[in-house]
Amino acid sequence: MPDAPRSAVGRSAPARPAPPEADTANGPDESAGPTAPVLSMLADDGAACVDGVCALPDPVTP
Amino acid sequence: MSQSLKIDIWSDVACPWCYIGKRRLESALERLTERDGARPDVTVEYHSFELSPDTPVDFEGTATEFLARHKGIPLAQAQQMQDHVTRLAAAEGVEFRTDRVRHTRTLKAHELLHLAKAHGKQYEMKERLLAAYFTEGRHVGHSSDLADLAAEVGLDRDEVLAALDSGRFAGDVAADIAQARAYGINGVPFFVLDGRYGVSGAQDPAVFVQAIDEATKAAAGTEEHADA
Repeated sequence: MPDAPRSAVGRSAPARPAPPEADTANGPDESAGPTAPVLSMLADDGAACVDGVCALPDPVTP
Repeated sequence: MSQSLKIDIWSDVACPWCYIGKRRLESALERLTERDGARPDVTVEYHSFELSPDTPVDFEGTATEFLARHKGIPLAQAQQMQDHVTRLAAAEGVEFRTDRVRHTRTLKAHELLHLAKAHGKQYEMKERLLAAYFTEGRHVGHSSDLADLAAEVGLDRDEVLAALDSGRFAGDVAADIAQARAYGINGVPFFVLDGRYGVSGAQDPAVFVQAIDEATKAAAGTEEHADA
């Protein structure tokens, strides 16, 4: 997989899905909106816009 | 028998990486066509994601100035970011004119994309909106301007105006955003292949080729397993 272009100009948060916040103590929350399957990520940390800021992703630390 | 692969893309109009990611996915599909001698059986559907719902429809200023005023990024750094992404866009054959961009809220543009989908013209509408925003400096926040652009891709201007003014597709936009939240998506572009595999960001075309191959292979394996 080729390296994504990197830059020191700006850093954005990764656009990958965050694990859902689990609160199972009271059972499933029917009002929480749609559910979705957990995705298997085939490629992560590509350049993306997060919260209106379109910077480059953080470099991967070896 | 080859399987059709569905690619769902969460994206915004005022999103340079979404435009670049669109071009890179198209490049990947062209590479697959050249490699296999036939265009892959892929269906693309765009979904709504508002990066900055707090943007005023009539913001006076460029996207760079919006970043400086609303996101607390120093103007020089914001300009540097824009210049960098402009160079990367040019490498994909896309002209970004950040000096012309008229930053605005994109809610109505998303509603238009849902109307276009209902008429089988979503892909053309998406391309038209991206070019209008990034290259031509057109306003994409007002119903009348959006109706003009919609007419250019063959949609009925009066129908578009009525739909946007009534908010007929606002619920569909909200549903897309809720689905993104359910997936845990916090940035765009974001690609979901076959409803199971994720690709985040504007990846290199080679990465898209690999992801499409993997998702197609997995889908075929599932089908064989089901037939056994």
